[in-house]
Amino acid sequence: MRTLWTIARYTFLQQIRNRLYLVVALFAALMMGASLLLGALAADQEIRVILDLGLATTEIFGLVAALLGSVTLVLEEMETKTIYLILTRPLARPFYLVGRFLGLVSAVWASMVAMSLFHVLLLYLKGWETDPQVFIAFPLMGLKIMVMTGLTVLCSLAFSSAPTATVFSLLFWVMGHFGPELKFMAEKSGGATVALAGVVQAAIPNLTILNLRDVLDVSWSAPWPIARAAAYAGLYTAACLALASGFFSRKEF
Amino acid sequence: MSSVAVSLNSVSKVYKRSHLGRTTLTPGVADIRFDVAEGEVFGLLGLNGSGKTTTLKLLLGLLFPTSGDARVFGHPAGSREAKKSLGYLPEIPYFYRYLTGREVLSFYGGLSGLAPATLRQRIDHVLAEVRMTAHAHRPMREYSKGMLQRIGLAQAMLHDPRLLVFDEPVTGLDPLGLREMREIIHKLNVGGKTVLFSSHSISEVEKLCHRVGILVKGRLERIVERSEWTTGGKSLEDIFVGTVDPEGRRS
Repeated sequence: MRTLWTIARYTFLQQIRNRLYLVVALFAALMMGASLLLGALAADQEIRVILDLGLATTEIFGLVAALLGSVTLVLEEMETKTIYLILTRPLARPFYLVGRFLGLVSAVWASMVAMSLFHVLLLYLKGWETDPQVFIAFPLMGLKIMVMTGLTVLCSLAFSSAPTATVFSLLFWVMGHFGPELKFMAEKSGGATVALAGVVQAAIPNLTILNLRDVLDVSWSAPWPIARAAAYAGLYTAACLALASGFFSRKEF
Repeated sequence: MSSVAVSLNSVSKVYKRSHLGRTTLTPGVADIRFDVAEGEVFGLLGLNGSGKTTTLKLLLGLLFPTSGDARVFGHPAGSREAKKSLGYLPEIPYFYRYLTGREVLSFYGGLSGLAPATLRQRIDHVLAEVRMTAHAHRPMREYSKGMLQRIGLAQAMLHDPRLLVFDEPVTGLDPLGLREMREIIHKLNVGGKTVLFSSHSISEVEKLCHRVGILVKGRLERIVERSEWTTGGKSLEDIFVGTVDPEGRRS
């Protein structure tokens, strides 16, 4: 466990020192600019617009940070050969992979927390009346980013190419938001398409259950949809990391 | 009787690469057999592409042998037990640019399973050994090549391993750096450590090694005892050239 903690801690430190603070700074600048602009344009809908814009921006910035971090998480170490000095230490390869993953996810989550705090502060400054559902949206977004990080690490090891891994991850991201639509279209087509769509749907992450807008009756007093979403995100990510470990264990350097 | 630190028994490696459905096979090393006794300094000499780095990577578990058996202190190469007892310095050590020298050592020490108190003590010790104490708080991106090599050496010695594996440890070092590296390897050996290293530098190898293995096109052509170049009437360079180019085609 100590080696896992060591890898996660230094990956976190590396990510924060590397580029993640820039993502947060850019977010803050964008949100401040947008709030000033929209203040003039949106009239009585200003808070609503800032709320939606802030949530979407936090998720997109989190996704960009997670994708950039995870496509290079192991590949960069292979290219720069820093991995030599790690894999010649007495640790199991899956431990290295999981440690790197945990460090990256923690760093992205930390940046998302900073963005969310800034977002909420801006809302209060504009006279926002607290809506508890917004505070459910934040952890769900974090889970979505965790799923995408796991999936992108898997893609990067399966394809051994950062551009290919990025393209596939973005494709999965889009498809993951259109699962029900995909199923509907397959059912309309009939035949083998239904079975094929079933397989595709099982493989791609179901990101709709981590979208607050797609889940009805979510509140702190009825926590089951949140618990179900968290369990799904955890299991899906664990499956991605298990597969990624399989690829990684057979890699030569 | 001293124990065997390294043992390679008929080890071969064929690189297999697949691209667009086509598989190409490239021989790396073939039928490598040699042992290194505990406490010995063993050098691997060879021209570029002769298989020196491949041999070392097979021992370290970075490559998997196509056939044969490689062991470190009796444990299969690449196993946790084997890795516990070795320290490795690659040809050009690469580090995390955003970490300081001390942080890098703390990171590698943590991965080697050193307890925090021991780790702090060992970091201070190895930093002093490689004369880097004064620079330990600077980020690695500010280090010169020589400083990176010293930190590389420090991380290899950090967990006090019984075997040190160095890949081209003197490449690119200035005369002072060369001398310091030679002194460190000598000191490690006097302290009971086994050292296995590859090199192009015949002069360094002949000063440091008890035995030398000469690799030619992926095969271990000859193992030379120290007495052969100290009292045998031929320099190590003559022996090496005579082995890699017996017909004198390159001269």
